[in-house]
Amino acid sequence: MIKHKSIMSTSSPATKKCFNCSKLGSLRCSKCKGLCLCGRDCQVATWKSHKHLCKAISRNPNATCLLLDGMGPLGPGVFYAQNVQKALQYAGVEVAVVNVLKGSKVPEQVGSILSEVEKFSSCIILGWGSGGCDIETEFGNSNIFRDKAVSWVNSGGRFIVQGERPQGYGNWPEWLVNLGRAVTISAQTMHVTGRATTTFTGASGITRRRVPLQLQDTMPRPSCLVELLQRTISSVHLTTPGRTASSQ
Amino acid sequence: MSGRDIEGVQSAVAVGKYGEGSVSYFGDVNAEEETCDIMAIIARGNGK
Repeated sequence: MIKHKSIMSTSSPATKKCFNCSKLGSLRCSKCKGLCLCGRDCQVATWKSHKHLCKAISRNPNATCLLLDGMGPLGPGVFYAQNVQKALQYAGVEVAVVNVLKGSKVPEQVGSILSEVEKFSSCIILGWGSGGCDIETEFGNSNIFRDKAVSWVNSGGRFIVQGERPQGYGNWPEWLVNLGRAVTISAQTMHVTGRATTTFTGASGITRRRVPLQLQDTMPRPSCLVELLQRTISSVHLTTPGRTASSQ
Repeated sequence: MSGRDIEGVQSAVAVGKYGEGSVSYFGDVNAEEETCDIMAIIARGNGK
């Protein structure tokens, strides 16, 4: 049973495909605005698979970052997600956390949400490539998610992936070569090693993994990015009560 | 202030510009505080 009263809002003209039946529709989920729909029947049919994501992204109307949690052998809500949320909070980034293990057609829904919900300027996927659950493969095999994610990044989105084997589970870095138009990765790519500057001396457990091929053609010394990050990190530390200033 | 040379092709963080946006890869599996801070900074927009 659908509980929220206002089921749909108009999204005119009817030029977008209904998430459920693929017919052209002019409506969308009124709660999250993330799914295009053609009518109440399709909204009802979609609700069971959509409600988890819908509630998660609607919970914080000011969220600008979509955090996808649950991939990898440890599942959702473990230390990585906790630490990232803490860092986002300290950096002043409002976040919507989605457990990708709940609902169905999750990759397609996430692609639609990135495409339709303008508030999200960044998307973090944790554990993609760490293995241990089918949802990683689902994301990798979803053409809808791939196309919408690439289009979203091309339009200014910041796509952030953490995982041990980026070439596995659909090889998401390959998308950027096959689908890229006027790609300037090689000229702009930068690396930051975990222990590159004194800022990072406090960290003993930072691990490195093989960088995706599409990000390997790098500039030799990314000093500008390192300094930018260091300045920002320092300011974050200095203005955050309860955290040690590891760079000082 | 300068970064250390990349050791081979492994890194804790790699950032690439793509179109108007960016793609970032994080190889750190231990969620160190510094790693998460960089992730948050990129999510905020400074790393774009």
